[in-house]
Amino acid sequence: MGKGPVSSVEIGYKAILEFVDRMEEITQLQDRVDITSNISQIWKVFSAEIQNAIRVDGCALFLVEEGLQEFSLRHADPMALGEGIRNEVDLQIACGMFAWVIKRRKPALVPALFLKPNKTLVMLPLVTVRHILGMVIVVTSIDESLITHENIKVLGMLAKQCALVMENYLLYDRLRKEHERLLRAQHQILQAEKLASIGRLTAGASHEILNPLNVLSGYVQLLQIQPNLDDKSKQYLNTIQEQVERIAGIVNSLYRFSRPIETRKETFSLLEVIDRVVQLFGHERRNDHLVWDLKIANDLPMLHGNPDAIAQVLVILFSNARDAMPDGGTLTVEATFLPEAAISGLEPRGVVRIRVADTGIGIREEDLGRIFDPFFTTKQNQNGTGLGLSLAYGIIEEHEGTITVESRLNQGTVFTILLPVRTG
Amino acid sequence: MVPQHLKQVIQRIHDLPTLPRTILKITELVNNPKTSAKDLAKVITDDQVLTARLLKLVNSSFYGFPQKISTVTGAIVLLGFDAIRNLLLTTSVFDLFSNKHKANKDLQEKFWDHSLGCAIGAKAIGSFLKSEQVEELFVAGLLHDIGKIVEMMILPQEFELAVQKTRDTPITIYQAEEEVLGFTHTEVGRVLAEKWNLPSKLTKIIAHHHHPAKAGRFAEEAAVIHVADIFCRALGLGSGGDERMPPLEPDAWSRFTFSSAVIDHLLQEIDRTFYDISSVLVATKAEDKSVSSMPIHG
Repeated sequence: MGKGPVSSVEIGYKAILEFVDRMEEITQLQDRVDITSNISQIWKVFSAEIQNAIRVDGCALFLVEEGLQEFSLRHADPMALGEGIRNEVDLQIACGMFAWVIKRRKPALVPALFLKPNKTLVMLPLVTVRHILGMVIVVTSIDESLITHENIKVLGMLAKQCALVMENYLLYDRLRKEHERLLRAQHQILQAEKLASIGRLTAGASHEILNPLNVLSGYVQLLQIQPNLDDKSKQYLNTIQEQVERIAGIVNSLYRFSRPIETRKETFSLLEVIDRVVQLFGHERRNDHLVWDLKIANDLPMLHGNPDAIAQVLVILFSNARDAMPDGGTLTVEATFLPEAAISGLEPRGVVRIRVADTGIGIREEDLGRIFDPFFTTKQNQNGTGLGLSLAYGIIEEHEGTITVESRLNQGTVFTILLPVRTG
Repeated sequence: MVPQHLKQVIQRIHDLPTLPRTILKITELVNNPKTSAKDLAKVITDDQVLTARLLKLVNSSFYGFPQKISTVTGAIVLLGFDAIRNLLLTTSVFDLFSNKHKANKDLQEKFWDHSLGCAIGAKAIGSFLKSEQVEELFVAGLLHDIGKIVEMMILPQEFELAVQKTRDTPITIYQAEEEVLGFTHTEVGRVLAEKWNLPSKLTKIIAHHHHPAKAGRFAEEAAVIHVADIFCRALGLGSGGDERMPPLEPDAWSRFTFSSAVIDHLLQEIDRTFYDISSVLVATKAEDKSVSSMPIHG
């Protein structure tokens, strides 16, 4: 000002050229952010650019929490700014500033309310046509009157770029998660299909095995009643007979369990189901090192649901317990009727509680939250599919019950199942 | 480079009104990226009337700012340099044209009503499209027919003749202007906007609001004004001189493809806001004539 018109036009022209250069730089920012970068990496690039554009005390990124519709602090540069900026933003939200800036979709400078004295806030809304992503708050000691048109424009453009890059990332991330979810579901279906076909095969094979087994058993019995048998031969025949019965027992159990799970529900006795599964495990020699401790109450009411599915849950829990105790241990199975209890307030007839406790290696705390996730397994060397507990979880959920876990490393794990008692 | 027929316009219009020096200075300052809020505030605060008007407007419900803005610098950094420039520019335009031409007062008021309706319409469409420039669209709506006001001031007889033509024959004011004057209000508006050094976006919108496709990179904005113009005719807000709909440009319309539900919503919104604003406007005018003559009070 105070200069002749020509020189002021020239100065303006030069300034505009510089500004165009700056704009070009900003439009190239996108290239520095890969689509697979996360919010922190994106913020790092933009935070540096903001500090490049204007002298700042610090800047902070607030993002709208999905579903909550609340602004939460994600990053603060420097970190020490964190607490103060949070108070500042609370005040700004309370007085309606945030909503106003977001709605207007343009950068705005306001005096700080909490961060005093003489601090100015630059609010940069992160909005795109589709989303309200959040807000960047820049704290500066520059007097508001010294802010130039260029400052505001550059910051506004940075915010817009930042919003676009973040939106890209969020869309990409959402798509990636959805894709993973679909892959998992597809995998689960494949696994279920595989299990089902194994089941069908087993059912057929069991039948085929039982027939010749009957023939074997018949001839062994014939041999046993032959006269003139020496003691050794008698002993051999007895052993053969025992083992044939054992085979028949295993095959029978396999046959029962391999029948496809039906969604049909019926009234069943939990006691019978537990007995059946314990017997199945008893047949397996690799379970010989287990000490069984059964505490089944005799006042258990009849349950409504799918007994085969509940049996499958027990098989899963018992197998896990066995694998957790490679050097032997006690497997406690407890079933109690709690007539006064309720799961969601809808079970006036009470709840049956099943506890399956082992004295095994336990589960690490960081894994506890994930053990019901499909394909989560710690049995790297033992061919674990990571499907068992997720299947168990699904079955119990289908019965409107709950399944929870407690564990201590090297002391053992307890699974607790609650099932509502219903009238069939 | 001035096209032949525009030269004709300029030849016939010797005395285009000029903007106050302060406004020209402000435009110049805002065009320079290095201008600070202080530089701009100094020019504004030198003019007390302008300062009072600015503070009144930025505190109006048009901006809906949750607190009171008490300093010019505060207003500049809060709303942005461009917004302040547009605001002051618009008020000055209104100063220039209001109450200067007693003969056509009735028609003039209808014009401003139409402009206000179009501004509200442009803002409503802009908000619906989540545009970042609803305020600019509002200003563009207010000024889009500025050429007609100029014609009315400088060539009152010819313009009256053109208006009469639209009543006697089934033609629009745009066609009547071409027949009577040899040019239209869009061209006059453009000459004026260029003379005033208005931002090129505004100039293009004023020049091409009947044919948005010609507005180049501002075609979207021009199309918003074009559609808002037609919405206002449909609602019968004010008058553009004729009582006819300008033809809807298919290109402009296909940009938006509003569903009939959206159109209903927008029409209702425009109608409601228009009556809200104009009733407040009447009250404000009566209460404070010295400070404001501009219809941006919400």
